[in-house]
Amino acid sequence: MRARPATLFPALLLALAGAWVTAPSADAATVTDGHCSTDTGVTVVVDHQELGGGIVVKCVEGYEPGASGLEVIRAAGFAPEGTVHDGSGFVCRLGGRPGVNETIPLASDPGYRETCVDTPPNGAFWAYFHADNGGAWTFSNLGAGNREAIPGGYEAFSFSLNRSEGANPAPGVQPSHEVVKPTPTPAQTIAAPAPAPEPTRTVEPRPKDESPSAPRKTTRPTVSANPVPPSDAPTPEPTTETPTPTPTLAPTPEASSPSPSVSAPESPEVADEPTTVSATPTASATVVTTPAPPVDAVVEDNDPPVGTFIGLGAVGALALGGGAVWWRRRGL
Amino acid sequence: MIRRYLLPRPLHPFSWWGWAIALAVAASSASNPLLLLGIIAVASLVVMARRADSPWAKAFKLYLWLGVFIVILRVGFRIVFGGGDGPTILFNLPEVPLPTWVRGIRLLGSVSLEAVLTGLYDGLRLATIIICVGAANALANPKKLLASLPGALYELGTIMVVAVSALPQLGDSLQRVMRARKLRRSPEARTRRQRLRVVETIIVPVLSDALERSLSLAASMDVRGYGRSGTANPLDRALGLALGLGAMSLIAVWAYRYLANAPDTFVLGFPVLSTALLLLGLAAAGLALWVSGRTVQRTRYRPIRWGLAETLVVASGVAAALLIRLIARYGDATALFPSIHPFTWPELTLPLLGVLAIAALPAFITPPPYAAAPRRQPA
Amino acid sequence: MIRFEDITFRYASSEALRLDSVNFEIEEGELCLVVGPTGSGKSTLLGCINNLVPRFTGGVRTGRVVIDGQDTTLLQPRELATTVGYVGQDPLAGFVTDTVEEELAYSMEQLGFAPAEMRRRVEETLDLLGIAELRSRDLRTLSGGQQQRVAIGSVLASSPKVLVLDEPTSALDPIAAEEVLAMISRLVRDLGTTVVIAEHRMERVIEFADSVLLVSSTVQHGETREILAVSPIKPPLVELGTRMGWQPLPLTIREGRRLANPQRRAWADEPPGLPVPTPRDEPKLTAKDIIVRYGPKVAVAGVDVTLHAGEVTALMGRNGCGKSSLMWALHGAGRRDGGTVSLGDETRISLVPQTPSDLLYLTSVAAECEQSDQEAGLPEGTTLALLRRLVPGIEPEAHPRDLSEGQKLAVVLAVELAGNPQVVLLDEPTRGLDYGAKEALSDIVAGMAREGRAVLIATHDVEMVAQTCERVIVMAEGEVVSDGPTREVLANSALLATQVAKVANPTPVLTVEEFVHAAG
Repeated sequence: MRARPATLFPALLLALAGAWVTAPSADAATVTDGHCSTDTGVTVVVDHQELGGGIVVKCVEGYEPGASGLEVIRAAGFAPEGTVHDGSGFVCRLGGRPGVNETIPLASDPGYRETCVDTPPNGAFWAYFHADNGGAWTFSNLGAGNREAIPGGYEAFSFSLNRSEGANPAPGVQPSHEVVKPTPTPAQTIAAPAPAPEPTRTVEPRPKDESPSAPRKTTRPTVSANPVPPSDAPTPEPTTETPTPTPTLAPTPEASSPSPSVSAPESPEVADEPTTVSATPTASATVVTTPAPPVDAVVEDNDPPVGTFIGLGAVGALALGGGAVWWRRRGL
Repeated sequence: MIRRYLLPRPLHPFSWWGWAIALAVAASSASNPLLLLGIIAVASLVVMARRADSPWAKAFKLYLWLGVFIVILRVGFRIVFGGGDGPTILFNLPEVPLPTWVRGIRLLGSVSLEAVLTGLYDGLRLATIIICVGAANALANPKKLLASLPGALYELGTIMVVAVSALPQLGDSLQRVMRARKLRRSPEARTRRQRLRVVETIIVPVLSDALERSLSLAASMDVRGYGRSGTANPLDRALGLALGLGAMSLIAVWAYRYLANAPDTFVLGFPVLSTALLLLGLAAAGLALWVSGRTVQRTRYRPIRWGLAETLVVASGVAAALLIRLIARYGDATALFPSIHPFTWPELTLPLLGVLAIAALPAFITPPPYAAAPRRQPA
Repeated sequence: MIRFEDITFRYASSEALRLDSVNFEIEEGELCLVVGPTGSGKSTLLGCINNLVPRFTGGVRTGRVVIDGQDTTLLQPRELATTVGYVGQDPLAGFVTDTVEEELAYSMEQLGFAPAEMRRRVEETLDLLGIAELRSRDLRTLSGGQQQRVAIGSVLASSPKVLVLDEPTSALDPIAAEEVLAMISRLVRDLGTTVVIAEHRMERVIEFADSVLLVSSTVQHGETREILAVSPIKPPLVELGTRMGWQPLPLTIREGRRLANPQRRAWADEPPGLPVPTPRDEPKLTAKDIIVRYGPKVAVAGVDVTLHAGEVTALMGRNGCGKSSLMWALHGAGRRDGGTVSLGDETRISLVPQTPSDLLYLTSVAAECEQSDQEAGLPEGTTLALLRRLVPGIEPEAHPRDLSEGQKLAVVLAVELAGNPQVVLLDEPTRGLDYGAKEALSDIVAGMAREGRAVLIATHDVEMVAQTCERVIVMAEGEVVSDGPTREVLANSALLATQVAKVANPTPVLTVEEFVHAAG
């Protein structure tokens, strides 16, 4: 064990040199929008509360058995970030929120910015909840990485702002869904959601509660940040419906607000083809919801930007200067 | 006039400490490893350029080694206790199974890049702070620093000076006694009692020596006038006491509010009530020290005056720290906190380069220290 | 200037009076030498001048002390800082600061002098003591003589009227001692400072002294020759004068030579027969090419030494020339980077270090002796009996740290000799010993030589060497400079000659006994 740190550095260099080792764990998982409809998938809910950004619900299927809540949430594409001080033990940032330039109106510090260096203050942090299907939200007393995700259950993060101890707000989604046994043929599913398309033309899911088709009792009215996405939701091609809104979550909060994709799953149904209607949550096969790519966005190319070279150059110059001064003052 | 300004002289120790602490504060509010390495390089440059020729000035490289050790230790801890929480796995170590009731701790297992990087960034932050303190130590003679303390704290300073001087003597004493032990034929120390005996043979002479030396030192100081009581009257003493207690209470209240994140009204980003408490407390403390020190009749030999150079040094440190704070609070803070997952290469933007340049100013715009005596060549 | 009126002092825990009704008066501008056997109360007396006794040491003192017309009996030592300056034996233990300059200024800082005044005085003191080029040196890197000068300077800077020095040259080699004493006498002559100095090796100071204070069972103060005539301890020159009946007693070499003219002229024609040392042929220890280095510094550079049974050899040389390093290397407990040491069969070797108290850690002399018996596997009581033979009159229940220097040395010697070593090395045993104790040591060493042991003594004390040793090795810079019979090496050397030898120069007479015997 003592020799291991010495081998760490070549390994580090290799990893950074360009070949990204993508997370192996997520290749088996599939992610869809909305509640799960089976009893094996885990529904992940992220409620931004006062942070702005609405509620995002995703379903993750086919993850490794025994995966922790954190792994499931990562598989759902939310890119949880820990702090420098605690490691990933404390989730500090989800999907890039709160961003490093985002001002959070803490009571004790109105200009507070979450830098994710130290543990977030207890007036502004992501509270971790979980619930069984049909159960009630429970504020977890273990970290997301320390407990296994409940198959068929719910894992959630809800942003707690300026709340006192114990008063953390639960996510604004009812943790229950109907369990539908997975059916092999897509044809069946065509029939089922037929009624669905019409109401969802407006893509405002809330008003009409499609009880027959939508296995999910959907959202409460708090999904406020919706306006933006619905506009593009109907338009995209059937095959590529959901991908546009959902995937690019991480980098810029504003730009990717399509996350309130509660509507999204419905949007495919907006498209007329009955075939696409088959984009019911269950028929994850046809709905090419590209499994939310675990490696999110910004990885343009693996070359470091100019700033890094300038920085390395500056540090090197300073160090050389210090060495030169030291040499001269030694009197040699 | 510039030539007069640049004549070699030692700077006031408080100025170097002010600069170093400001730099440490700047380092603690950033996690960009390039910036932190830059601060370390700046501190080293200033130390090399402006340190005096004394034994603790030469001890600066110990601080650098300490910094390296801290970083390695942090990264090691992350690897051992939970390195696998990131998505990018570097390599796998065999996991040591722990009982289930030990939740939250995992030994070894897979090691992820994210964990290593967070360990690296965190360790680097701590190392930078320590190296800044080491730089202050190397630049400002600690004994001169203690001598510059206000009169009321002089006794405290003397205690520390004497304690620090006594350590090398203790070391010499220990060496001598260990050598002398070999002159007595002592049987093998096998039992625990015999081993304790061995310790006794070392400790008793060393401590007796130290006691005798301290008595000699005390006599020598007494004979030279140390400890003459001042001309304090009861009123002065009472005033000093009252001010001191008041200062401590105010600062205690401020500390409580700060740590408990108490709500407050804000003006220009500063909490009004808390800042007022802090300033009042510090003023009261300063006043208390002044009142108590007024009656002490002690002067300083060749005191170092606080001049333009000292102000510039402190100003450069404070400016660097302020700049970093401004960027962190009101500007684009992404450069200060490069994200680890997803990984972005840390870079130094123009403002950050400016910060480093300002922090490095004391190496160039201050008078140099006294030239060292020419080294004698061994015959 | 200094007047003691009926001073009596005892420690609180015992009834025995250390000082009993002491009365004397020292004039202004005098250099007064305080002499007396060890443990007779010299330090106590000196401490009474600036009230360290009883303020610092505790105890009960009655009587009055008047300094410069002012009654100072009840003052604290720190209030007398501008009147009396006191310098103890170990200068390094009394240093508070790091550099010479700051140490000189320390006293003035405490007394509240103005910074400009301090600066001026520090510069003057640096010049007065001749240490101006050392001003920013670290105190620990100075030589013994330089340290002592800085210590004196640090009390001098506040211009006291009286200077009290407690054995200032005990730790110094002869050259450094000469420097310090010359400086002190210049202070007396140029500045008019009253100096009271206690010194074991009187011969160095006696020529400068205006008066002598003899502290034994009673305290007598008087003019130098008067007191020396009745004093039990005298320097060799005065002893010679007394034995030869010279009047007035010679205090300097020049006076001695004048008074010895008749003998010298007689010996110029007919050299006296002087004892010749017996040749020794049984080597007990043979060392070749000893090398000791500490990093880049070479302490011993290839030295060959042979010690024979029954031979007492002296190892002399400046401080720092490698004497100690050589001894430790010969013993084997110290560093040896090269060379071989071969002892005869069954030959044990033991070493008595410079600070004998490093070896003592138990709480009573008897316990130390018992421990030593156990270590050497000897029957109980052997060491204690040996100690009694060496120095009678040591309380077995006394704490070793309470003993005088000579007694501590005797205890350690007994412990070391218990193992019956055939080769005995003594590292600077004469430090802090008065004449009486040195006599006792000489006898002990002679006894050891008679028993057939080989003895090597490192010392600065030329008189003792002349008395005891038959061979002298002189070292400088890690090498042996001369090695031969005592008479040859000492008599013709300018620096290492005894007082008697300087008087009788060129006849190589070394001791008083030899002189008296040769004079017929």
